[in-house]
Amino acid sequence: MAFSWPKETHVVGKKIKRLDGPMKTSGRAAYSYDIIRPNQQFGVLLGSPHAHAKIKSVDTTAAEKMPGVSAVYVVKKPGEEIVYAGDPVVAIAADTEAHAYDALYAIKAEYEVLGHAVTMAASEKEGAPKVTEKDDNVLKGKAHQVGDVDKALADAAAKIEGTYSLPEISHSCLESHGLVAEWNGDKLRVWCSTQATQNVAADLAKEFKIPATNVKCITHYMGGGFGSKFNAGVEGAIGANLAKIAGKPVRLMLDRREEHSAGIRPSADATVTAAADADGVLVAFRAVQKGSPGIGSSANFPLPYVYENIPNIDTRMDSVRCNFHMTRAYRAPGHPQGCFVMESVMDDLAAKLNLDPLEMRRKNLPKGQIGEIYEKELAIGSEMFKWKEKYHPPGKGKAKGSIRTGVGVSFHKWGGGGVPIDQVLCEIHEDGSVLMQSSTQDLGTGNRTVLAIVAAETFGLLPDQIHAEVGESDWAKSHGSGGSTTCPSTAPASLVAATQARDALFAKVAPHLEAKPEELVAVDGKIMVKGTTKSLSWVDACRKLGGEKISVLGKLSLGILRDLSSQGAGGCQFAEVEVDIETGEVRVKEVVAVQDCGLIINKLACESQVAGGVVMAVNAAVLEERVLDQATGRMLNADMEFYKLGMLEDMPRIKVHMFDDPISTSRGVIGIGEPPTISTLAAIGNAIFNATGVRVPRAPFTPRNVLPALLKGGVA
Amino acid sequence: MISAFTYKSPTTLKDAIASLASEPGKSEVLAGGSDLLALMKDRIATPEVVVNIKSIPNLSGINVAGGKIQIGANTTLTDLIEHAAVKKNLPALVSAARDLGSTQIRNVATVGGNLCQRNRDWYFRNGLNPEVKEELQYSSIFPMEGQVYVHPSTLAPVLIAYGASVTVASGVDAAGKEKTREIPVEKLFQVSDLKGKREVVLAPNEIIVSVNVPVVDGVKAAEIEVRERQSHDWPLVQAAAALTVDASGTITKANVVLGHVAPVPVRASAAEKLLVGKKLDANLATQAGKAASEGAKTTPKNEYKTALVEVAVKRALLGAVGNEYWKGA
Repeated sequence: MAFSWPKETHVVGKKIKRLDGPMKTSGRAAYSYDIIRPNQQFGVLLGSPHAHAKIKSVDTTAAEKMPGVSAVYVVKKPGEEIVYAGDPVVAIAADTEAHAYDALYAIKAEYEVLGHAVTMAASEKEGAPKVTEKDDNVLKGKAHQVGDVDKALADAAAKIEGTYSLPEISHSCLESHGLVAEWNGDKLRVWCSTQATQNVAADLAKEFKIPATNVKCITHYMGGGFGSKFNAGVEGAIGANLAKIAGKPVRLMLDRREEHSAGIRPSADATVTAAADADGVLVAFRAVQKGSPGIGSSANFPLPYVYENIPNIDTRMDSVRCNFHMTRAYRAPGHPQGCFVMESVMDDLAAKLNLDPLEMRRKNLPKGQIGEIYEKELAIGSEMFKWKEKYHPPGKGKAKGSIRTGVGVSFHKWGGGGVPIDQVLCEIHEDGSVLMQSSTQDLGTGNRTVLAIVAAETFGLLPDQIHAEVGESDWAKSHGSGGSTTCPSTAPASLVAATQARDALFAKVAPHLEAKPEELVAVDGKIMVKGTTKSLSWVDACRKLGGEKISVLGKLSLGILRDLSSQGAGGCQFAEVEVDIETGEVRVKEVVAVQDCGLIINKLACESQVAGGVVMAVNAAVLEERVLDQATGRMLNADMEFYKLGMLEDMPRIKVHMFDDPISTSRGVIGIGEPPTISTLAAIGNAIFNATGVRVPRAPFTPRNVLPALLKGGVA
Repeated sequence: MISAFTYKSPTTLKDAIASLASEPGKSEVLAGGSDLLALMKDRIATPEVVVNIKSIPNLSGINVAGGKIQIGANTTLTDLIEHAAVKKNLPALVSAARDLGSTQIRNVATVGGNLCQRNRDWYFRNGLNPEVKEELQYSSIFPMEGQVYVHPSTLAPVLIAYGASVTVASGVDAAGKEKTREIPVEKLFQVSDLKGKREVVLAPNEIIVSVNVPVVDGVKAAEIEVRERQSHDWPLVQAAAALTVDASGTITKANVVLGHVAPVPVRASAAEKLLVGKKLDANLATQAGKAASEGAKTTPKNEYKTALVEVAVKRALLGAVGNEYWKGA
């Protein structure tokens, strides 16, 4: 059976408020942190104070005798290697948080301290200590070569060289990682803050060697993951182990320090030589790239980016391992880094050629369907932003006191196609109530409402007439919410389930309307015979089920997905900044974001997603940097005071345009989670360049990085 | 997580002083708690006794009399900002207080607590003291006694510029009445050894009762902070200036004080000397800024702060006389 999105819609693509909005805003929604089970114990972790060490001994005898202690779990045994500061060594559960911490302070652990390196420079140095027993510090990547870069550089009209870099940054999830774990015999139930209920259940089944059917992961609400919560993780396994030892439910949620230390976005550094012809067409691109994945294996970021049709390319990427927790996926892995480098190069070259940056982009954007989308987005965005009025050559704008205003633009891409794993259960009950249910989770994107919107569209109802449930691992199959693949999977699966359920209902109802099932339509809360006035209200139609209920498990196949979803979203963003050239202070005044995501399911949620992506990246642009102490390897700013995130006063006006041209929407649903956070930093960096005529090569764009660049450039 | 302690909530100053230990670290004074509780949670402070002073009457509130504004130590920053006489006479103090912390913090944090707070240095707050400290981006450019932290109070530089003093209750006399002493705010600070010796010269059983700011006709003052965040942030550099200018426009007295550049708020004496006897213009302000930054000892991570001192001083001086040139107004 073939499926297609309706041409005319009454709900899909409209601005629909989230069904769970009131639950969240009123504080009634129970997140993992809010779960309180009978006799629940508090779990806490003792992290290693050393960045690289071997355990000599762990003495927990005193801790075990402390008041209220119900479980002591030694995570690292003597002889085991510690590879980052904060690496969990021992976990404690006790009846109160205070008792748990008191016991934690009573643990005696001895370490054989080994040499560590927490910066790329320290790790790469001749004679640097090995950061782990396994693997070398520097994992060399393969070179990617096309054409003859040296020759093209020699002949080019304009050439630039530059080094561009971004620091490591933390996800800073509002709700930290962790769970509540409860055993009942050999059955384990966890309330976990995760973006993959099924992964967590599978991970824990494996950890305890119990059947998958014995583990249930519940995530009705969660407070952000951004890629950091795909698995049970070390904290999940420890929490469940504590609960097993205690014989009581245990809550183990990381504190802010631990959350900041548990996997971050890798740093990125690229030394680029690039050239364009006199028209601004890129002719050569060379990049020596590196980044640190911590003790992980890859910090890769894509280069060249978006403008990839270059005849001569020479790139190589090394990953430089350091003693910090292996990086966890961070919203649009690699893309913001690649985008920042590439878009900086584009404007640096445009300046050499005295070209308007928009002209430079037009010359180099890819061709084909995505190229058309970019062209149209550029037209819409530059109009909304008033680019023509605001643009001036770099450093040549009007001065107001010590303030210089500048504008910048950036383009980005993302995949975001559906995954043929997801299933959704649709039930129609005799009283007219409808259930849409899946084990998928709502990462904060409005996924629960997606199920309801698609069902409402199919049944001629409104979303709040649908009961949508997500977030229990033993419900209909799903996959992890990553790569912007959730909505393009759950929306098609919902359409399949709802369409099949509706057809089953039509079959039951048709005789009562003296029509054939294929003559029926579901609109405006009614089941009608097409072209007539004969109808039954939704509820009356459902009454004809006569004691039965319709229950359909909507499944996807590659073929169905091909009709309902696509890969490849494109977007662009424009930023306006004010730079105080005496102090290097940067204020982001406005960001215009134009974003394509194929067929829009919920315009309001999409706009929120885009605005949220912009906010996240404004922070990365002007504030965020994770700082590790080189001497001790410990994170120095592991709080929300010095790991700085902006508040309302620090945020720009954000104008969002959801690109809904048929050229895009005809492709079906494409995910939107990652794309809107890719371009912002690059656009802001370019706006600073435009304001001052000086490239600030390293984010965050704080006075510490901006002022020296301005002084060097003779502007300050 | 906080370790166990005894909580006392006396209703008289006398009892409060008696409840405090004379050795450092054994007891702590609790007012707004916005600093103390964080220190206790991180076990940087592990007092056996915590003495709440919020139940003592007359420690909060603002009185204007005899050419002075007397600010009770327990006055919250919100109450300070909203006070009419403070707004009228001490605009630079309002500017500093308004930019401090967040609304929630200003609602609980007190003026006395702001002066007695401990430093925010990363190494100190993390309980670390490695031989080599590399991450000095927010640290002192005028290190003192081997210490690289910066004094966190943003009220202190302004209060020093205004010539304010604090009244301190220190012990009880033979008649059972609390003794007080008066300390100029300028003399209130010392370089902490990050152990028993605190950032303030007060004994562990002394309590600030009030801050007293003279109101002098013709004093023009301003305060400038260069920051990373507009909301809730510490300055990278702060400068406060209070100028007395005669009828001819000549500066007769100049107080220029820097914050967030040294372990104590520091007077920019070289800048002050340069200013007195001259008429202020952009050129003189620029020179004063340069003079204020002289002698800085920086590392590659905090070098940028030297340039910020120059700008902040220039702006504080010109801002004091109403020339906010940087805004292009």
